[in-house]
Amino acid sequence: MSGPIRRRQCRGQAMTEFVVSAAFVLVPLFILVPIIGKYVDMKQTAIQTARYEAWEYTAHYQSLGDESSGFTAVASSKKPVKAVGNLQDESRRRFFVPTNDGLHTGGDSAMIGSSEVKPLWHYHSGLSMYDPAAIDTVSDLNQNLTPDPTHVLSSILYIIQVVFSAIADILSAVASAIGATPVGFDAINAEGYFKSTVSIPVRNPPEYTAFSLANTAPLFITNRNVKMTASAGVLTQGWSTGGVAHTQSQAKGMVPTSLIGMILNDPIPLQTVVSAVLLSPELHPDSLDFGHMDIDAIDPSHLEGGGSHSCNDAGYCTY
Amino acid sequence: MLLSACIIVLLGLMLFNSGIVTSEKMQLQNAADAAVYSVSTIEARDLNFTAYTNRAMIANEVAIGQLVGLMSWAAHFASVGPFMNLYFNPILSALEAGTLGIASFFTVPMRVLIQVLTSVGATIRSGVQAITSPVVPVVAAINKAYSIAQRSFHLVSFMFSVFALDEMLKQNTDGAQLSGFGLVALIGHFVTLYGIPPVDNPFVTSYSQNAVEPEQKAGMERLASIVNASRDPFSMNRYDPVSPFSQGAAGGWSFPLFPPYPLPAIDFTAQIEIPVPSWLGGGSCPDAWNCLFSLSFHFQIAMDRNGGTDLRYVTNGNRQLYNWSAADTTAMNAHIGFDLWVFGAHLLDIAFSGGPPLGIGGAQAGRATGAQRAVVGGVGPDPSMLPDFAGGDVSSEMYGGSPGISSLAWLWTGLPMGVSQSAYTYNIGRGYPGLPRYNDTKPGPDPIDITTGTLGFEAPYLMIGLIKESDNIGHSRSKGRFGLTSEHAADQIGVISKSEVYFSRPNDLSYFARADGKVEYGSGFNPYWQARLVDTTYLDRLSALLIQQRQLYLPSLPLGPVIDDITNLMDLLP
Repeated sequence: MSGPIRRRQCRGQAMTEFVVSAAFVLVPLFILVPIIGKYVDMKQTAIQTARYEAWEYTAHYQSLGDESSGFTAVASSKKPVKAVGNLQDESRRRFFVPTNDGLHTGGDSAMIGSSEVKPLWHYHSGLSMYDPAAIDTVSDLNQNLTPDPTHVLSSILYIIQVVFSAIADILSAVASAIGATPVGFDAINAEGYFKSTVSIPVRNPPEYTAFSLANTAPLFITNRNVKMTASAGVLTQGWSTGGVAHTQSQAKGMVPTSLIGMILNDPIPLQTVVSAVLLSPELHPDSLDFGHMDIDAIDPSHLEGGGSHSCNDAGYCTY
Repeated sequence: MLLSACIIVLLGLMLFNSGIVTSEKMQLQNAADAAVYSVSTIEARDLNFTAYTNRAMIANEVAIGQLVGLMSWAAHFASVGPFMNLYFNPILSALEAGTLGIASFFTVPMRVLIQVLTSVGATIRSGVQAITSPVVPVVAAINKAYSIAQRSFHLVSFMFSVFALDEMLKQNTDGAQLSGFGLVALIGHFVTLYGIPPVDNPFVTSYSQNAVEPEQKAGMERLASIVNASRDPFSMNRYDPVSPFSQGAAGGWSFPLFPPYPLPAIDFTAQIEIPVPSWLGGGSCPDAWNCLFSLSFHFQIAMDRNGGTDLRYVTNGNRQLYNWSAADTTAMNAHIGFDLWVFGAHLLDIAFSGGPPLGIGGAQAGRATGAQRAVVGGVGPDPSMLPDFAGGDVSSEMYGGSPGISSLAWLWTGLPMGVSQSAYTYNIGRGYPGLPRYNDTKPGPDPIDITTGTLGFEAPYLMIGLIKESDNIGHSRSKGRFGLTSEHAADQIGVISKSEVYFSRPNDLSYFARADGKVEYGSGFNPYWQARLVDTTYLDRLSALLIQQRQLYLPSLPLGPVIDDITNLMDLLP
């Protein structure tokens, strides 16, 4: 066969090959690469979300029940509290809604709806790659005991917590009965370990279907059941105090003689009466203060400007 | 087209691989951050628990001091009747021996008053002794329990730290492990936190009064000075908060007998001043040369009352053993002052204050027997409870300043008993073990300021390094011409993270601020410890690159083989 005749017979072959390979190789590849990138983005968003949720409790309480008692300097409504549900709603708004929607915290962190999806996370067909509402059904966030595989240490901690709480209850009951400021040591919190698992169920991508209009089922895999999952955890709650009055309230819960002052001075100001009858003003409760505590008393070497204590020949040390 | 397809495939594979590596690295960094933060949180808990218990132990010690003070006050109150009997009995007897019938109008009520005071005083003294004596050992035992709890929790914190570290690695990622570099940094942290030899200045030290080392004694002296500063006004100096005779912050009270209250004291001043202009050097009396003379006179008789309760140590062998002791005195003092200046020269300055005691009391809580015996006072005069001006140890500022105001009361040795014998007699804590053992951070100025001369992982800083082997990191299975050689340094990805436990007591929040407005640094006495992540330093990162990632090549220097040896040693570590 001569060359020109052959060329005529092959005319259009390259185009046909290109169309076929483009349809089954190039176009799928062009589609696949962005999807990989989006999957990576989803995975890393899950990692960030899990970390955010767990670490948020390094600065917030799950409930005011986690706060040690006696901190009255700030109104309850202004304390940093985020319930688990609220925090999850907040994290969904931060990480799973259109980025132009802004950051949301606190009151405006309402649960997101199925229609609020990130523009980036769509398949080429326009199909959303995930259902925002489905994230909550497979994710988890909860508070746990301080890690202790032996369970011995945490049990001891828990027992100490219960014992001190019982003493605190007694002291608070006495204080309430006589109208005094409640005291009690309950700063020990055996919990504080927050664990978060965030899982994003990924919708199946659109793919080739049968040529029959009556059958639109995927030709290859019907359900991939892909999830982008990440976990995070961190130990929180360092038992630190919320100020001078809070420290006194907590520490006085370990000073049994503070009860003496409560009982002696209420409802009858017995100390005042005795100090008057015995002509001994030094016995007045403003002087003889049972359970007395001075939180500011500290070695001057631990203060700005420094200093030191000194002891005399009698072994009497002051600063 | 084939080339285009190959490029796109390679791009896809590269994107897939790098996506996995970056995700793994994020999770590994999360694990490292969570691990160091969690361990620092446990250490913050430890330090805060230490602070709470230290404050409680101090308050309980003050409570023991209050009980000792009450006993001393009761002994003092009980001595008033006998003192009145001592002074008035000869007078009353003389009056009763006389023939004037009118004397009985005075002597009978006086004798009744003395008898009532004596009886009531003795009853109160016995009652206070019966109540306070059993309470002292109970409070001391509670303090011992707190001390044990504090030190136990400090040790248990180490186990919690290890468990938390392990748990955080598992919870935040899979397959992470501590690198050799991270392990060394972690060990370095715990060694400096707990003071494992050869570290001799750990971040947290336990102090005991039974130890003889100077650092230990200094630590106990610091605690004693804080306890003394934490006393209530009664223990400090028998502060009178209500009566018009209060001496204010100086403590005690002073009731004028002559001139009788409410008349003022006798104060007389006479002076003659020659008027001389100031440009000639003239001035005002009493210290100017043109003041011919200036004479001042002050006189008052008052019933002075004061006392206090002090925590002191008693030296026993090489040890300093702590003891609570109290003294209460009342004396009828004559206060006389005479000041004479002539031509600006101070010729006479006489100030006398003294008089017979009207009430004396003393008490203590100190172990009375055995090797840890720590008592003050004695059956007779004892230097430990005699003023320094009489050759004793007690300085004028002790016991509320009593030795400086009621001098004769302190020297009293007859009947009723003096301060020394009273303190010796009324020991309501014969088994009192002294100050409890306690933990504290290293002495000032700022224990968390270790920015110079350190390696970066010493407590309170904590640094770890984590690695994940390349084999544990997912990647594409492409081979041949599509195979991607995604090698990681040392066949692993690695991260470092650093945290610290820090102290913050803000002065700009009223409910946090100190009353004196000073900036407070961290110590084991206030629970303001928290955990936070901190930046790694250049040295930290360089060390990690060198040892963990083995990324510093120095082939031409002799340092190279040494580094290789170090890294080989690291490989031997688990």
